[in-house]
Amino acid sequence: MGYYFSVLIKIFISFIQSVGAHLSLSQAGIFFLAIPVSYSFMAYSLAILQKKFGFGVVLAFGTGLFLTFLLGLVLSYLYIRVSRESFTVLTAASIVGFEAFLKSFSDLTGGVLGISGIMRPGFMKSLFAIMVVSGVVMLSMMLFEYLIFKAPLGRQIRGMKESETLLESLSVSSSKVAVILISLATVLSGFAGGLEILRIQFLDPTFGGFPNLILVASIAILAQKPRVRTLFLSTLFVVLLPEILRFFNFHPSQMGHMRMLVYSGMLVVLIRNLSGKFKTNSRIV
Amino acid sequence: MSFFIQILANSLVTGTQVLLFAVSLYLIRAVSKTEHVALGAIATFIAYMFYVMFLSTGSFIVSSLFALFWAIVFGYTSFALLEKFYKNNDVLLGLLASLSFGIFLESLIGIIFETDAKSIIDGVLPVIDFGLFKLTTPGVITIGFGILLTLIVSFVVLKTPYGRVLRSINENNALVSSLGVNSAFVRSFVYCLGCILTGFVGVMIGLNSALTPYMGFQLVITGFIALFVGGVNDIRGVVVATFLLSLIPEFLINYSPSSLEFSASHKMFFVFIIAFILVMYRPNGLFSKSIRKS
Amino acid sequence: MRKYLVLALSSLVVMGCGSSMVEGDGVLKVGVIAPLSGNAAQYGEETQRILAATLADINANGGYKGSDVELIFEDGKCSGSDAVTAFQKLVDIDGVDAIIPFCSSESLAIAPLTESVQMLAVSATSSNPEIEGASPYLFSFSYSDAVIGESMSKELSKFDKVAIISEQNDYSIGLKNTVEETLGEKVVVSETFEATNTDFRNSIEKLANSGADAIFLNPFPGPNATNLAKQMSEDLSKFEGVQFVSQIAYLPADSREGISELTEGMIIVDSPVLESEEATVFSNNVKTNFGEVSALDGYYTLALSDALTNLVNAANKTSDNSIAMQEYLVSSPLVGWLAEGSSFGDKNFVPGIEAAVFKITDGEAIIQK
Repeated sequence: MGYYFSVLIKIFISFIQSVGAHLSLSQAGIFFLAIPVSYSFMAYSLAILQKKFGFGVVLAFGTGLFLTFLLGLVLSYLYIRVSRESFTVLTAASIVGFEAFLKSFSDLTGGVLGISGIMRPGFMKSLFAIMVVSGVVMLSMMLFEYLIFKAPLGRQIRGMKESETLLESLSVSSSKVAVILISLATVLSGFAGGLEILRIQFLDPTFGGFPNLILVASIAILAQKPRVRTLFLSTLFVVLLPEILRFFNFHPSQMGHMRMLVYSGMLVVLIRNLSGKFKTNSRIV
Repeated sequence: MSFFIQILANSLVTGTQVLLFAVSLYLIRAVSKTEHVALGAIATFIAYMFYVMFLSTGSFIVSSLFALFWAIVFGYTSFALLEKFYKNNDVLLGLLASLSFGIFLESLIGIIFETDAKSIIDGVLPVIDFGLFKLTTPGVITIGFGILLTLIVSFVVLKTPYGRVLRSINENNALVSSLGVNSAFVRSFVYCLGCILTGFVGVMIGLNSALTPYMGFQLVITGFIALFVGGVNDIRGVVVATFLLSLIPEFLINYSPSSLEFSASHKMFFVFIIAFILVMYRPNGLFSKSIRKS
Repeated sequence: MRKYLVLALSSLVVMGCGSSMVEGDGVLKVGVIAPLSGNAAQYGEETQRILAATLADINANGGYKGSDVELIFEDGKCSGSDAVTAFQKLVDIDGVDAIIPFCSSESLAIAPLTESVQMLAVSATSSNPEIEGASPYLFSFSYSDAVIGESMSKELSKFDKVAIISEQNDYSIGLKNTVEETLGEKVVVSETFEATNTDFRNSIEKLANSGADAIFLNPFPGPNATNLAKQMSEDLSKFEGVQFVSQIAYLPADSREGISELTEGMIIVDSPVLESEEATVFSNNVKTNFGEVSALDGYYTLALSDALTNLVNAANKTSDNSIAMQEYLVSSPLVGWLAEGSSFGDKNFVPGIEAAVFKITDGEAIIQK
């Protein structure tokens, strides 16, 4: 049963992480690509606080989340300060930069050897418990996103993608919306990273990175519509796809590559089919 | 002094490799608003095709023509893949599609050629002694041809009618088309050109060091960063940004006190820090003019 | 959206259908977690070949109580999180009776799980010292990096200034850390490069400029090691009078092809080479009939073979129950090429593997001590 719990946890955690990406990337059109950085940052904060500074698990989680929130504020400031394209490239560059930092400053991060033996809190000792907790958080996030879409903020988010200028003319600060979204995306991604590391109990620099960006961005972009159900189904599809391929009997020496080949090929086809299908027909007035 | 010159020379080789990626990304973005990050994997695939033909024939000329053929094939494939995103103005989807296509190609290379490094030239490479520094022959060719190609492309883009057409497509495609320019042809041509430039880099890397399925990735990422740091619409900025991002980290690593233990593994971290500083100082590109927001 | 729903539900059904029950089914299944894609994929591919050769021998000799032993491979990508997912799939869906993890990061990641579900894991290649004490169900036929690191430090301590160049992977960094801790101020330069790097010329220049009397070459065995050596050989005049020291990366004869000028006189610290005709026959059989083995040649070929052989032996002596097999391995004599007669006892690393020092003389690795 552990495998099923693991897969369900992966779905729940990916959904939590993708909510922020769905709102920022997909709905608002903010090219915020540092989501894997916040995922990894929170995980490392949790691990370092616990293993190197002796924090209790819950305190380490809370402190890590707070630090991740601060990171979100820094990234939000960056968005306001630089051009949109520069923001995109800096957030993309931050993925490789952060990975290089993790590998090289090994005194703090453990380097390529990583950090092992990360403890779980008492109420999350078993995989089942982690599944329950992450499931509850996921349901909360579903409700949260639903409420956002129904609220004025949801309309402002969609308005940002349509026309920032128009939004400003309606006395809505696009910068404020962006700060909220980027901070939210950072914190949610960090939360997901914290949960994931409590599941694995081991951390190394391969955690996060571009594969995580591909996963989250695929989920967010496939869920083009501003609907929670769409995001959930998109999460199911993207997360389950590589798991299904495990059961195909590819030749062992080709297995790993075949999986990536089929996964990426299907993504290309899917994304290409989606292009142009979600143009907004109505203008915001 | 010789240490400095040697480091500079070696860094110019890798810097020129990144430069050709950045220029290719610039050209493609200029006509299609898409960042074609799959160029890293495309360059790798073309290099492997060169390797295969070289193993069979032992001829550089035949292998080069074979690689050129594949560059053109990938150029048209890229055009076919990404044109739809351009027409629908789905920039983000185009970026994601390109990234996925790159992963697809890398996996294909892993299946066909396996993942162990392949050397096109067996044995130790001969070096050319320039007195104060030494470079391998592929290294010299990389710098020479790379800078020459960049100068030619820059000249064409900045000073010729063809370059004006290219920059106009980015500004207003409909208007350019109404003037009788076949913008689809221009885009397909630029995709092919981009693949040829990066394919050249891939082959040179294979000759200068070794071929691995993932060798193009770091180069295309650095080129991608240089494109935006330099200014997406300014090829001069792209060129300068590329060399800043390639040279400064190398000198930081090689001239830092040993107590800091900076080494080659820190390179991408420094690239990010430098990009961050440059972007904070020049958010719209290195040579951008101040723009008043209305 | 209906398409997505159908797809998602179908996938759950497929996964459900794929499930098989675990307990004592009379068939011995061994799961292997190895990097089958990504930068380390070559090691995963060679692992498959070596284990396939060993499996053929085992099954030809009766397998597990007359039935064939089965190997099931999963891609760990040398990443902790992928290793954990792979572990759980192997245990819960495939119902394996034991696991062979490859990378130290994979072994360390699954260590807590092996203890919680009482699943035996025997690696042949994980050498990170943190494996010691990580789990009572995790063992390794590799030598601990600490053993090689100590011997390496002894050799390097004979010199006043030492420079190190290491690849960024768990094996090389483990060795580097041990050496640096021991030598302290004698290390004048310590360069590290990423595994994906193919151009080392600036790092080499830094080593040459350091004024070191000895350079410790510490890449992972395989293509990077060859590449590094070739690029160093482009201008050996920079390294006149410098003693090169290395580990397993330059021990096999074919790893020194084309770079003899560099490696002549090189001191290599590694585990002893087993001088056994049967071991040589086995290694050659792998290469001839199952495919090229270069990165895992020598010790690791035999260690992988021993890991699988001892798992099957433990099962044959007890049953295909993981707990019983673990108890057997802890207390009973091991079999195979490397640790015949010894047992793990309360240790996680196979005992009795000491470092040997070789010197390359006239192209041959001659054992010194």
